Amino acid sequence: MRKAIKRHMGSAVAWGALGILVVFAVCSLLAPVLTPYEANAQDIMNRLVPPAWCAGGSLEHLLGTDELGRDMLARLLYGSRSSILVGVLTAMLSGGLGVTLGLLSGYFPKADAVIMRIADIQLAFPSMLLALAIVAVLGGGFFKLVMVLGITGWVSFSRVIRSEVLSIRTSDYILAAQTVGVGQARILFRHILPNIIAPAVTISTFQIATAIISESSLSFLGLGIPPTTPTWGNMLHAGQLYMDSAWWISLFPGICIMLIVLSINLLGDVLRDYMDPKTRQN
Amino acid sequence: MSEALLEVKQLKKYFPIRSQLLKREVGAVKAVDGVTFSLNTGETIGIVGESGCGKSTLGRVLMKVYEPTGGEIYFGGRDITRLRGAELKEHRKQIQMIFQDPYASLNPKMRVRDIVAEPLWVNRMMSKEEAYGQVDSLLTTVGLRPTDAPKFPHQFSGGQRQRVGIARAIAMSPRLIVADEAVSALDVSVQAQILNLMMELKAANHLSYLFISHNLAVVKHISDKVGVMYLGNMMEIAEKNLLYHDAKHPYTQALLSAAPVADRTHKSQRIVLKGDVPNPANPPEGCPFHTRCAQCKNICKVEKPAFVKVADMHYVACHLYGGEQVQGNAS
Repeated sequence: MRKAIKRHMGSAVAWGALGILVVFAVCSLLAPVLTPYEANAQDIMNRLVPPAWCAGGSLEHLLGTDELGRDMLARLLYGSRSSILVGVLTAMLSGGLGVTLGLLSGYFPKADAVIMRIADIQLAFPSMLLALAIVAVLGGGFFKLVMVLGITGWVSFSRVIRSEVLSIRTSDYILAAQTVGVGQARILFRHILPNIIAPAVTISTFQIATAIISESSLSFLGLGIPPTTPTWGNMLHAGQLYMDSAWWISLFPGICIMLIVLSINLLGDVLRDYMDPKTRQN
Repeated sequence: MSEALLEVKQLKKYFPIRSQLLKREVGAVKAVDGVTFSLNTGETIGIVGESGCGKSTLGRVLMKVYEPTGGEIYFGGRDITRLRGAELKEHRKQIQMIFQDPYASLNPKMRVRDIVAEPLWVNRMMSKEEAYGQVDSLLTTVGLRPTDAPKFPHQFSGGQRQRVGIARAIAMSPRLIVADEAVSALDVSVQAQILNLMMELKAANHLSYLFISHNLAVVKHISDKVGVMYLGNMMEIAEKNLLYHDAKHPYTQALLSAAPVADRTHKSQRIVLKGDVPNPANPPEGCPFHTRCAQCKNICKVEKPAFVKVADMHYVACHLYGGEQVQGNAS
């Protein structure tokens, strides 16, 4: 009985999380329809207007305006486009890179020596400095930013994946596959890879959140997305200066980031359970 | 008498011990230290010994999972000691393995049909479709149902999982199966079922087994002859009844006296060994067993006893017995 409730609850949570993600996706696509304002339309006369339900707020700006009089709702809607894209693309890139390198490093001791030393160097090196260096050489822009974040993010994947592979590699079922004559490539991708998907999914969800926030710091330094493009990250950042007078500027993007990360995390859990044959049955 | 399928001569496997800092070799664990025996087609040899005596390592060296440090292995008359690459892959079709823990030896993310069919098609013995076509009959052979094919390992009991492992091992029709503690992890009633299955398969397919176990009763049930290992050395090999009723080596005698016997009239004179098994990284000089042997003589402390024939089908490495010396072709 308790199990039934738990399972039922589990699916309710999953649907809720999926719902939130769908709402975000639809809103970002339909931004021009949902709000009459341009994301960058300044209105100095109406700067720092509080949200509609607060004293001094007006229905014209439901979530208020920022320090330049730009409509918060419009900026959130338009900002979701780049933020979600940065998060997802970065997680995919660093995940692909990190899982591959982690697999190799866990399975081949010689590759391990090289890959893990590079990882150590990268961990010791301030990632912001590395990002700055890469951007300085390659220049800024959306895809450069994704690349930089992706490259700085692979270590957290490969460290975890490597240790998982190390323990799986010596298990009897891998030995069994070797003794029946299965080749190394097939052992890596068909026997080991399915067993490390669960931790990889968990780290990706975390990576999406980190990327959305890192994007803001890089953009703040003028290295990522230009300030004319609204992102949740740069809104959060801009609001810092007005924390005590106009809390809404950073609160709303913060809530958005939290909601999206939470729903991705919950979905990740469900996905992980689904991929485990033990919990998929019944 | 049939031809020797497997001949092992003075097989050695040392695992190097490296220093922490410089990774220099500072010593070696002598897991298998000069083991000689042979096995005929259709025969089962049981290998018994305490934990850490090297019996599992012996099995894995024969599987060529570990490279032997020294000695020779002949399989079907062919020297396989140094086989590599494609030749090794080809050879492995003929020796397969059944593992101890049926929970660890099946990939939790693979369906039974994939586990059982994989050996057949990865070796290009047949196409993928044909391999999957074989799954039903293989499962039936090991006492499972064809409807079990799409299931995952966790949906089976320990005994059923071991049957899946056996189906995988026999899929390529090997000539020798190394069973490393194949029933130790199972309930006693299931042990009997699995042992009977293995014996049926042996009769039907002309298989040979190298059956590694610490359980004397199980080994007695399944084996034709039995080898006793201690600290990486073969102490005694004999035809089953000779070994169980007329053990020569003091270690074998102690081992047998320690095994429980379900017979109230049986008067047990237990030989209790003193001390512990010496460290295989630093084995004693002379006979490896002399530190614990009640019948230890002076010569035992300095000279390692040779393997001698004491009777037909009965060989022992002990200074208490003189006899015809054997140079690496005990059978």
